[in-house]
Amino acid sequence: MAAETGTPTTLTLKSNDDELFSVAESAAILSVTIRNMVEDGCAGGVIPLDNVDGKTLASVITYMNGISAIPADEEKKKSYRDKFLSDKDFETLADMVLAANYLNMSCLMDAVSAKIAQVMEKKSVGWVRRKFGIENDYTPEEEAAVKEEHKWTFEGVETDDDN
Amino acid sequence: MPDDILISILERVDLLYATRTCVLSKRWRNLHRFLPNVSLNCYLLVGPHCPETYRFMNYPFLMINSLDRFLRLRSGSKIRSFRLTCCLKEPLTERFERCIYFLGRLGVEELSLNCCCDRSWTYTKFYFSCQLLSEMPLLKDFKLGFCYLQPSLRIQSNSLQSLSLEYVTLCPGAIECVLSNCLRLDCLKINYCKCPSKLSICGPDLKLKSVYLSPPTGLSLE
Repeated sequence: MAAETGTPTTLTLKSNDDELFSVAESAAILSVTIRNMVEDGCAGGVIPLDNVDGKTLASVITYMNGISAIPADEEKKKSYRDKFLSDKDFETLADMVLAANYLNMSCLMDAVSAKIAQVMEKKSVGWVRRKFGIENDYTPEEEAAVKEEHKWTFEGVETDDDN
Repeated sequence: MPDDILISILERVDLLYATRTCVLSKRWRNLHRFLPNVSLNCYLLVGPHCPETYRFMNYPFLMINSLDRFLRLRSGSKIRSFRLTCCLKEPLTERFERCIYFLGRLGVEELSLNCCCDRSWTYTKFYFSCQLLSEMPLLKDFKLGFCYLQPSLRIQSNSLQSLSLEYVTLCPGAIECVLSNCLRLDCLKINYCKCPSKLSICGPDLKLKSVYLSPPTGLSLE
């Protein structure tokens, strides 16, 4: 590997909409999926990532570069993650959690799951259905029955539906 | 999104909210039942009326019915860690033992049990028998608070590694029973407990690496 020659190896990643990205191997192997490909020697040419689109991959690479530049300091890594996710909207977060899962990046997966949890926690049923694209397949009677069964979880709940 | 991602998100929201997602759609109806870490209290089990409900005779039964129903609904999905903070009372002992049996079958590895959610502890007496450790073969980490710990004759082999007791009244022989039966125990904490006049921490084959006592009591180490 290039570590022997002293120059950092660069990998080329390809999104499912055919965008190409160059990224330092040391940052890219935060993804266990990519690391396995590198270790298996499949990283010679272009690494195709069939489940990630270009926009999301660009974001993930920004994260990979950012977090790998921080030395082993969990506090600083955490504050980087918080800042990185602070301006992302729900759709972006949803794409990122899928990408993090596919790329097998547990630190990003944990951080994005926690962020989504935080965003959805106080929201109404309607908001969550809309954002997660959930089709309500209960009949009105079934929905009322499920609600009745879990009545206690709805007591004293205030929700806000902002975007 | 695949179920495992949704569960990883739900794990990070409050259990009340996570449970509420069952109304979203049929697919979501059971998702919350797969959360591996569960934290329950009186409020979640009987609604916002504890401790007022507590004054009524039926409170303990409402509570244990809810707990029982919750655990039955979970059958088939593992509970790794379980926290319960609620006012347990003596007439419930037998039904509570069934709940522990369910928890054991669900593969619980960490259990935290506080048998009191308010100051009523001074007049409640809830006994936890060492025998129940036999029902949870995978239990590694056990925290017990606000009750009486009772010895039993024989405990089947178990995996307990860490036991923490807080505000527990130790019946004579209880600690000895734990030490002679929990052969993998390596950490024992006894905080603010009422101990019998003589407490000896000894045994033929102790693996204990750490023992914490606060406040220190008259203790003989052999």
